[in-house]
Amino acid sequence: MMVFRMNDWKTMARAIGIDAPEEQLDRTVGPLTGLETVFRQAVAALEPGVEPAVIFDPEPGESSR
Amino acid sequence: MIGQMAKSLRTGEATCTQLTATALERLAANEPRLNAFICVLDEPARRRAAQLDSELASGLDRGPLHGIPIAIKDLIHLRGERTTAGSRLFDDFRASESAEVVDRLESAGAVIIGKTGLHEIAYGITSNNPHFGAVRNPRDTTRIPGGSSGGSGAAVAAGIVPVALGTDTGGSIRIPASFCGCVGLKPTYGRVSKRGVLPLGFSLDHIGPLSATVDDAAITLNAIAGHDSLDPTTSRRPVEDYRPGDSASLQGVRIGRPTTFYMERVAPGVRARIDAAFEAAAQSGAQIIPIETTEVEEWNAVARVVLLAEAAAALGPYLQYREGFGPDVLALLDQGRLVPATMYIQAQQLRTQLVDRARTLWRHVDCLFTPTTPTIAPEIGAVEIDVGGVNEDVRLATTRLVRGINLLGLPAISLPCGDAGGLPAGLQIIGPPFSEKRLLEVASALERAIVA
Repeated sequence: MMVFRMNDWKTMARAIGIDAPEEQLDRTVGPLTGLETVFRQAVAALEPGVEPAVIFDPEPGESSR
Repeated sequence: MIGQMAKSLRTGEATCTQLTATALERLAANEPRLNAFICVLDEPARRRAAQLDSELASGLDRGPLHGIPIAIKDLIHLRGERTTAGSRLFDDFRASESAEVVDRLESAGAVIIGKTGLHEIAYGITSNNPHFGAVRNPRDTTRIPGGSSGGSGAAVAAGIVPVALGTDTGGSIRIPASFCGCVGLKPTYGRVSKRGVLPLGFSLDHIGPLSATVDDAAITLNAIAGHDSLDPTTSRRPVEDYRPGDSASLQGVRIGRPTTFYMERVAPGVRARIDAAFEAAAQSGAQIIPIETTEVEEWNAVARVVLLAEAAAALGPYLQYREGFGPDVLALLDQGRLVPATMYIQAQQLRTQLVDRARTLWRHVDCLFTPTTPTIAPEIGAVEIDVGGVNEDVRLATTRLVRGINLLGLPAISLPCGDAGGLPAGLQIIGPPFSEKRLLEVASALERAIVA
């Protein structure tokens, strides 16, 4: 399973055009670092081939859900 | 409460017009002190109540909600009225159609007296709204009511209405229920239609009642539950009569007592109320079973990734008006823009695995008891809160025990379980998918046991 690491959230933020002062940017990206740590560990144990929980319905309105 | 009001209408002790007038008087007496309402529907509500009086007089009885004044969160469409979502971005938006839940409640005879305040776009837990001002907790107006359905919690706790609809994407019904001291029910994902409610997290959003009593929540669920052919996320499972009745009992119910996560980092006063709830349940014949819930931290992390991405997608078209958002919501939306598509898909893959593994819980227990929130209501403006001697971010601490349940789509109720330090504590009762009837029976029996 490929695990994506996005260590430099601040550079990414600037790259997508989030134009905020340094302090505000720190507040924005700060929580992502902690979140990424827990998430990355979970993804490392993800079994390949698991279907995502959001399922495409080719026949909307006929679902037997 | 609804049961008593309904009885008074049928014995002639009260009229729909009087019940609505009383609700509007209580609203006026509490506003703007609580700031619980964004919109008051004075004239339309009085007109509707008069119609419902005529119906009752002519023998048309729509059931227990006939003539009962209620409120709805201002994220839910009501035909011809504004839906602000607690944002100035939607100032000029008026819904051309009511939400499905509103149509169902009106068909059941409910009278909508107003639309309640909320955290900006329902994305937060304080209801300290930068555009409409802070909603205040009726039990202590220096404290938050919780959120995002803070106005609904405040309106019920202040006795203005017996029921107000809320929405719950990461705890937004259960948190204000816990902080304000009322009942909050988040049904199973798919049990209640979301059509006509502004989305925040498409696969995490739920609609449900905040109410004065468990029976009030059940009466409301009876009206709003069921398949909606125009909402593909709704279930075709048959609905039940969710009212628990007087014979609801805890005898033989297997209640899981988490030994990990849920009882860690909880304020001592709240923990004492939860321990007392377990004791009351055991004395009423329930079997208390210690159980390990080892993956809650993963549930929360995956739920946060899903919500960050879905909310950024839902609100993306409005991000060109950055000045239109408050700083906390803007930071969350910007975080969501940084979540790559791969991360979102992996989160939904993890969700499949986590939902599958969580099923094993229900082999051993019928429901779980946990605290709803680890603390009582924080002060308005607090950024951090002391949780048993450790300072935590208010938002992360407050959502820690509720967020994962949205990822799993499970039904959960927050039930008042007494005061801790003079303010309410909430007990969260979680069950397997579509176990609302059992959960409401357990909550009703416990409600009686705690009051006794």
